[in-house]
Amino acid sequence: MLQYVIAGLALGGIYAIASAGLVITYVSSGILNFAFGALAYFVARFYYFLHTQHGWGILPSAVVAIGLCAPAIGIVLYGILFRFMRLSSPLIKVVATVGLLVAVPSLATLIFGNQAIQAAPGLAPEPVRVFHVIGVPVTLDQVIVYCCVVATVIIGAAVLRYTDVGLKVRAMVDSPAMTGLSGTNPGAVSVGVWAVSIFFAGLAGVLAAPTIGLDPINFTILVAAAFAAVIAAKLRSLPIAVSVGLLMGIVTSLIQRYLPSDSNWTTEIVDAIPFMVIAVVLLYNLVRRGSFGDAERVGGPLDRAIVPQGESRLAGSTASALDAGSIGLLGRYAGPALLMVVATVLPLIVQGFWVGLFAQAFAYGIIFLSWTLVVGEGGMLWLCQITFAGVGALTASQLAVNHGWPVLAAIVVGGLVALPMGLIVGFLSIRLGDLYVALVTLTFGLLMENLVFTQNIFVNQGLGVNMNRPTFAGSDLAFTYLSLAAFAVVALFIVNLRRSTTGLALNAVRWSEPAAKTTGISVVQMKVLVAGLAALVAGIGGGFLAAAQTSAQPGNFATFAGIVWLAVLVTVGVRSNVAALVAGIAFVMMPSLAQAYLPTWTANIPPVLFGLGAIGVAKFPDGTLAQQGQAFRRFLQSRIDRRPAPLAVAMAGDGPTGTIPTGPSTPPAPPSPRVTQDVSP
Amino acid sequence: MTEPILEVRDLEVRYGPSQALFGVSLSATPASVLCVLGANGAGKSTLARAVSGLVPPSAGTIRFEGRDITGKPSHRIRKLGLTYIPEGRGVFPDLSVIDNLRMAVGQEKRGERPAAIDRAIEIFPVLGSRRHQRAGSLSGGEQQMLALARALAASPRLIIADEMSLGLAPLVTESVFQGLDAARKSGITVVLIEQFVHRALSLADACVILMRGRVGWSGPAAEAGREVLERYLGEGEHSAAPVG
Amino acid sequence: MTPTSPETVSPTAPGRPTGDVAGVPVLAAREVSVRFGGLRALSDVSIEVAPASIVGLVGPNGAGKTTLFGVLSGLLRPSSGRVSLRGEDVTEASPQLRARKGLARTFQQPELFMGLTVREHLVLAHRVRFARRRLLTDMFNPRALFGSKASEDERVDALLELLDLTRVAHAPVAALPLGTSRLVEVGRALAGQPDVILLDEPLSGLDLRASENLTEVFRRVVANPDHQVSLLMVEHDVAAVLALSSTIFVLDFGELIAQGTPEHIRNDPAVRAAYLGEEPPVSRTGTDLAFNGTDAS
Repeated sequence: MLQYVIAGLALGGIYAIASAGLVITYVSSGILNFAFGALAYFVARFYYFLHTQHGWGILPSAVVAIGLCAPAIGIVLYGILFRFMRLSSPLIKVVATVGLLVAVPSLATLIFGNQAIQAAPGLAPEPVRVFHVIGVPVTLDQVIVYCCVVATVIIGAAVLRYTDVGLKVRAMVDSPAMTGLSGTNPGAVSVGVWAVSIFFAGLAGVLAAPTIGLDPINFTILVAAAFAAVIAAKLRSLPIAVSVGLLMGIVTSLIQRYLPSDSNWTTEIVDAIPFMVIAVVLLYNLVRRGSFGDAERVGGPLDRAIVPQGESRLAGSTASALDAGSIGLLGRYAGPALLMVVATVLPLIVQGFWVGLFAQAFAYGIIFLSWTLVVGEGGMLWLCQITFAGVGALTASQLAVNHGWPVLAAIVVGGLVALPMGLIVGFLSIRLGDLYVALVTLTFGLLMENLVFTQNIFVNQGLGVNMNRPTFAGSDLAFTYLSLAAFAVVALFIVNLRRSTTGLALNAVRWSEPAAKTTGISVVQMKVLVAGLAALVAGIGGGFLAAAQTSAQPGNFATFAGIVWLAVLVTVGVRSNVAALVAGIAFVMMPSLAQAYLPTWTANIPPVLFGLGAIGVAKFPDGTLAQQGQAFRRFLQSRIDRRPAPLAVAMAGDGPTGTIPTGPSTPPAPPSPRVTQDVSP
Repeated sequence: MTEPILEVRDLEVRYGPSQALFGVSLSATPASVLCVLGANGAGKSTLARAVSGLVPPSAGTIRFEGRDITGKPSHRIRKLGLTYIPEGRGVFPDLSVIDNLRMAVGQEKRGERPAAIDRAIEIFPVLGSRRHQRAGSLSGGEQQMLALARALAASPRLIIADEMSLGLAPLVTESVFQGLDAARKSGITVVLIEQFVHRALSLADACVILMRGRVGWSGPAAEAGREVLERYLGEGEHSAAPVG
Repeated sequence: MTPTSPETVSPTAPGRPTGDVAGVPVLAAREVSVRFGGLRALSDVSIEVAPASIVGLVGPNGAGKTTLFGVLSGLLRPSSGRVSLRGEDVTEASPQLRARKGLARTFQQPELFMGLTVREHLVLAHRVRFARRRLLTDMFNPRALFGSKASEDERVDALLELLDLTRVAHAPVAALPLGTSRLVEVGRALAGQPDVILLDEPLSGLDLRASENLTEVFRRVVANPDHQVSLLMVEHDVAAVLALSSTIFVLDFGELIAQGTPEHIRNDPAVRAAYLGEEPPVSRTGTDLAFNGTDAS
């Protein structure tokens, strides 16, 4: 028993340190750092680079990696990125950190080299000493974790409670604007908080490396588990986050005692525990309070009062709404039409292997359209579209191959199986707020990946299940066109949806929930609807992808691969159907082109670029490429069409209701008396 | 005439696409009370936020004690001695009373901070008995006293008090105003932002009236009553003095 | 009240009693209290809005007006007390349900749907009330774009005309100045043919012309013989409220301190005290005045 508690405390300690690092940046700058695990990996990889690859001693390596490099990363990230995001919408904040999550591991490979690492040492000298405490073996690595946790808690509490720096941090959490008015530079406090947060990331990373190995995915999963503690703390309470982190470690360890140790199922359950904790916490809060709402507020009323209006949101700034109105018919349809023509012609030009790739590219395009729906129309950030694609692919292959269904029917039914999942996850998460939708969908994806996709019926000893193509479209070229046709159908559906009453209502919900509600629109209903549709589309896209690849591999649908997909789409543009098509082609073609024509090391460049592209939403909320496209269309418009745009008409026709009297020579006369005179009996 | 301690010239402020201030100019003489009046939405708070560095002006200049502070961040401006008590409650609700005061005296020399805090508590003794209470759990009046104590503890040269009487009972308002009056007598300039006229005017030396983001009238407080009547209650609106 | 507009008799219009119940207010709050933590934002406030009337709700900043609006529109849950719409208890009803039962509102900072044009705001609000199913079915209908009923067009165009928005009907709302944005909000509210509209400081931030324009629109709306609607208005411009309203409620410190006709309110000592904080120390002209022209003359 004690043995399990002691082992669990080591894991729990790492959770605790990670959740502390996550909470402090959330409360001080409103950013929940999804890249925390990737940054932990980066620092751990750097430590390995210094200590193992370059033979530095433990102490100098640790000091340089954790003590210098990690805080420096925090400072740089704050200086070049997070500083500018204080006023961004929650979605943009999430997407930017998701971009980092995609870019950082590839960046690490570019810098530190691409070699398989079997085992990573921790902070204890090798071979690791083992102590026996009342008969229980404890490794020096574990002892170091305990010491770090105790030191973190004691030093952290003391600094926060008794020092001037701690006071400033607490003041900053209360209200950055008031902090500035008190003569303390809130920016300086934020720099410090980010430095400490990434220091915690580095510490957790180096401490965890001996247990989980130096694999970026494992680090991100570890941190996704730490999210459970952060959610339990409602993103705010440091003591609760640390305690729940510790507790989760112990529970995980204790459960292993009561489950058969030789079963696959045990590992699956154990891996899924943190995500079950998240599910339980969210359900509990949903039932008890109906919403988490206020937890997403950062700062005080003064801070909200000085936020400029016309803020930019993911997939739709005020400026882009204006742009959309000023683009004429030609500008609106010329680009998409041209692209469809190019997409139709390209597969005819290329040869063999490349034709098959286009089939995949169009299938990815369909999956990406599900984000066009849920992010672009629904205004929510869903991180589990790949899971729905996986559900679609696995279902379709089972039906088509093992049950002999017609392929297209199997693909559609695959989508129909994903649909209720989207509805249920949506129903559970949407009321909680934007940030929680991202967290819950990430959790759902990881749960499905751990519990369902690992079943042997799908894994088939690692081979996956074969997937047929429809008999009438068996060849690569025929199936490519079938995929493109399917893409076109879904895209047209989205075009119609946007302009229908449904689209108007979704637009209303996206721009103002209070106004939508008081107009009589049910916000939850509309959002759940679009989430379900998106799951359906992703499921169908997954089926097409499996057919294009002629097999359905559960391993291809890992949640974090889906986050890379999202980064690709966000880079190109998340509002437009065309962007989904371009993103699909880019995602498939870029690595293959690089493989065929460029040196191997360049394989790591596309993820870095896509990661940076996703970070770019901070500046271009409609997607970097979409923004360029708009600029180009405006240019085109101005050359071809000299009529005044509707916007200009609006401005010109503003006479009778204009609010702003011009010229200081005519001071506004008082409104009240005249009105009084008019009506007085 | 003495050099103004605060001088605002042609100030313009935009919040995103909408403009809140249009070419506002005003000045405050040292150790006086300048009262800024105006309806809700006239731009009073925006003016205060721009002067204190919370929102960047899009045009115009702000000079404080002869120094150009236009566009400087709020913490710099505070360190120069210009203190803004924001509308609502100018306190950190989640910090204790004593921590609120510690935050306020942060830029004093370390050795002088306890004395500064003690002085602040002397002004409003009720705060002394609530040292360790969360500021957010104080009554509205006590919070405003704390806000004022925070401002005075930091040895300011100028205080901008934004609607401090908001939602306060008359007696409490009176003690807050007395605190401001005492501050003026000790040589501190006060810019008093108010929505309601009489109590503010009784304290003020000069007065500026904002209307829809512009200065509608400015001049000595003693003349403001008549002007307000003429201009805003419709008695001979066209004969009103030109905008100044 | 008998609805006279063609759509209101259609079976798709829910929740509207067809018979008139004499004396039943369209909207009423009974002893509503709201607490935020230890703070009491509203204490036992009761108000009533009679059919086809303009009712004012005034009070100094922080008196609880916006909180009461939150409770009435369903965005805030009261700690105690009831809210009823045409005699039907809606205290537990969601904002969207209340909207469907005939309650609409505008916001102090206009809350418009930036991606839509002016006309689309009205069309959407109209369909939400009278063709609800289209919210869910339209996306499957390729002819959704052209599928507006003649009656809908007529109604929407008439509203655009009434509000003088015809010229900007197809402009994206993001480009509109504040005054026009307010008109769009009023139009959106009216498009659902509500029984009562809550107006949250509709005149603040408007210049003289825009604000006269809007008050004129309010008079026209209430006088419209085709459709009876009441307005409940929170407004800082007390003079405008006194001029427009038939009944006025005055809030201070979360309590109702006065109610009655404009004349009554004008001369109520409690109201004067609330607006001035205390007796004016210097009564230069023999008139007490609060800034915004609570003229007591």
